[in-house]
Amino acid sequence: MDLFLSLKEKLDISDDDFKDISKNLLSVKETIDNEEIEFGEQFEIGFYSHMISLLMRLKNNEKIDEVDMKVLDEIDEKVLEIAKKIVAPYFDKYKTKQNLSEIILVATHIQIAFNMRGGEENVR
Amino acid sequence: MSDKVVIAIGDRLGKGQKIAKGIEAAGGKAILIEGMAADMKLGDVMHENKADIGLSFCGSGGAGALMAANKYGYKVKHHLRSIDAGITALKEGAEVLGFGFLDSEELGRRVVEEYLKIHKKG
Repeated sequence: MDLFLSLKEKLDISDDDFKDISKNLLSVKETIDNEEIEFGEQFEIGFYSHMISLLMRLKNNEKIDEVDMKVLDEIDEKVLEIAKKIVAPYFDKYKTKQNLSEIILVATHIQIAFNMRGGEENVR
Repeated sequence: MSDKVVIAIGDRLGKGQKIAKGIEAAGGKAILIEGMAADMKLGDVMHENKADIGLSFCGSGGAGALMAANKYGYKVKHHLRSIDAGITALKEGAEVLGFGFLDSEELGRRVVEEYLKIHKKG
C-alpha cells in the first residue's frame, strides 16, 4: 500500500479517485502474485504507475491511439492472457469497450518481467 | 565534452524514430533506445550518457518518466498530451518528460530549440 500511496502523490490522484482505484490495485496485485510475476523495485513502480494511469483513463473514458499490432510478435500468448485477466474486469466496471491496445501495454510490463526472470531487474 | 543537446528517447513500443530525426535536424544528439519497453530503460540510459533531457512515451507517459525520476532524481513532468505541454514543462525545469504516444519530428526539433534557448548552449 505504501507504493500505491507514493504513486498517488506522484501522479496527483485525488483522494476520491484513489479510494476507488486502490481497491482495483490490490486486486491487480493479487493476480500478479498468483501468477508468480516478480517485478524489481523500479519495474514495480513502472507497472503500478501504468496501472493507475490505465484505471484513470478507463474511469474517465479516455482513449489511447491503437498500438502497432506487430508488438504481439514479442509477447507470449500466456503473458497476453495474464494481461487480459488483469485488465478485462475494469472494462466492465467502467462500462467501456474492451481495448486490445490497453491489454497489450500491460502485457509489455509482464513480458519484460518474464524475459528478465532471474536477472538484475527482478532482484528484490 | 559535446556542445550538443543530448536527448534520450524511450518509447514503450520501440518507436521514436521521427523524434530522433527532429532532434538531429535541430543539431541535437538523439539516443533512441530500441525495442519493446524502451521507456523502462530511459533513466539508466540518461544516466549512462549524461543526457540533458529524457523523453518517455506510453499510454499516458507516466511509467518510464517516473522510473527515471525515482532512480536518479531527475525532475519529471508526465501525462503530457501535446508538444506545447512538453515545451512548457521544459521551461519549468523538467529533465524527463512523459508523453502519451507522440512520435513526431516537430517534437524532437522543438525540444532541442527550447533547451538551447533556456540554456544558451552551443
